Amino acid sequence: MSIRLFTYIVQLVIKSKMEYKESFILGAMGQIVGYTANYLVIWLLLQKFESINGWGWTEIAFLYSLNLLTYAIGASFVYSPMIGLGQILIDGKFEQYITKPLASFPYFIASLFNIGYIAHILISGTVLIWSLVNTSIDWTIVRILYLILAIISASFLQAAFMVVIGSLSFYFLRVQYLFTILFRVREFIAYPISVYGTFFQIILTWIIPLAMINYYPSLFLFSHGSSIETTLYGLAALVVGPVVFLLAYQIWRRGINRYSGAGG
Amino acid sequence: MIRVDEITREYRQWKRYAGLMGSIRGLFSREYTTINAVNQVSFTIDQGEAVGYIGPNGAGKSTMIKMLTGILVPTAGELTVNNLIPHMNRKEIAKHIGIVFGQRSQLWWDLPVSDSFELHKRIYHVSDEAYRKNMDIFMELLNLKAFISQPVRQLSLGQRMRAEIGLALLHDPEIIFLDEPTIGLDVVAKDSIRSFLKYINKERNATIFLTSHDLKDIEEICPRLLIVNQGKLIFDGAVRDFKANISSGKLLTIEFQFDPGTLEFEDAILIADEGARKMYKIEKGLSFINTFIGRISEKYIITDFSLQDYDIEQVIRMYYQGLESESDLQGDLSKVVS
Repeated sequence: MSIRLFTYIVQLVIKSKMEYKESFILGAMGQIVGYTANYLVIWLLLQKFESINGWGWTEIAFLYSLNLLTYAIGASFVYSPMIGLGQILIDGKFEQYITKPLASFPYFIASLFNIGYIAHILISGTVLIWSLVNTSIDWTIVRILYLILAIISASFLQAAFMVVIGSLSFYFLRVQYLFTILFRVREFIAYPISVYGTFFQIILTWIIPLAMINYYPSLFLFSHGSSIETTLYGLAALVVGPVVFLLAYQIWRRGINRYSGAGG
Repeated sequence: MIRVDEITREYRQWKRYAGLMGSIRGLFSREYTTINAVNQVSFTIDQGEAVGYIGPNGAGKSTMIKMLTGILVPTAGELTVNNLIPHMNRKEIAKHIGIVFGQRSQLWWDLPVSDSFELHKRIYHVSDEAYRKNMDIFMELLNLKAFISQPVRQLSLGQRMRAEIGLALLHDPEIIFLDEPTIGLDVVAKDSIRSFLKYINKERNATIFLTSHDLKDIEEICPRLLIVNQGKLIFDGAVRDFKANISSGKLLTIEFQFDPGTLEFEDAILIADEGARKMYKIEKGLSFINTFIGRISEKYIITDFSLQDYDIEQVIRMYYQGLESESDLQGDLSKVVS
């Protein structure tokens, strides 16, 4: 499937959404208010404690924003198709995606692209830029490039988790509660994972590598004297997203095979 | 073009238990029964043929279409479309087939009809020239011009189905699969769809594979008929051979003001008796039916009556049971229809 066709479908989705402008604007405003409140809570917390494990307000704001921004980018593409898949299968509407001369995965996610995350992207992007301007990072070309690649990789990683859970719909049909669990677990990375014990740090690095989304890229960018360890984890964060996403895609493909073998 | 050889498709149905405790037990139970939705069916269809595939609910019609279009994988048997195995060549097959599912839409609900066509043009790489040519035809024959710029959500069911069919034919498919394309439509809409499909079949030599509940669809579009029942193919032949096989009759339902008791006649066979509402099977012409009703209304007060052709279930049951009773020559029609 060509990028041109993908963007054409996304345009159609946005055009559809704009048929209901009022509800779209209301929804976006609601999200902005909600997340502003979240930022406020962290700010208030840091007014009292000044720093969490050595992380100040601007750094925590960066950490939080990187998580929210990459989630919003990933979710724009995969949240609606993945959370909706169970019902789409039940309604028999999935068939149209596998009976076209296209790869079904990009066609499916493009058709259910969610422009509603634009509010998330606006607020997290704004805070992210603000925090970058207000930290003492020495902005070299390498660091800027690193940040861009880290955002792309983390967006893939965020999407990958949702694709894995969504693909389970091919087996169990209803998987919404697993999304709830994912969102709860993701709350761990609102703060630097160094506040947790070693056990949780290992889990969040190696088992469910959520720390690769924001913690390690932040360490890499903020560490002034660079240690070997932060450099290695920082670089790993650039590849882990695409790699896990490819694994998720394999699970998706197995799910489709299972669907045409046993479902219907 | 389409070759189906001893195709079987099984479903597993997990065993369910009654009651709340039963539902908990069901969580741990691995017991299931196997149902053959399609059971060792074989047929071949040549390019340009129009075939009706009919059968009662649960006969495995949709399952067959899903296997032919590559959505489902057969449990056993061989199946090829254009010499390709559909489920292993989904993307390739998709270029050559058009699919219309009467119950599901491919159109974009909130957008003008034209947007869905424009998207399919891109998906199937339809050239500008072919696109213009086809759109001209659809605008006229399917009367798309009346609603092409309206959002799909504002269309009537008949308009939507016409758009649906045009959309499925935009890329000039060699084979068209239609699953209940006329379901829920009024007579006028059905008519326009039937004549359009006939046109496509004749002018483009496109193969048509159609499932329907409405025997009229088949009679008008498809010279050849396949009948399935409980997963098995029970008839494969010309529509007129099939019709010669079953008695051509009508069902007359009469509602009396008061229950007249049992009323039996020689040329009108009582097949259902609910007291004040009786159903007769009549094999003679309309003039007979006229006098018949006249004769009854002299003695009893009739509040309503209706005349109908057999629906597909009745016809198939008659045909099926006719097959069974051929051996003992006891063609008791009253039993057959009830």
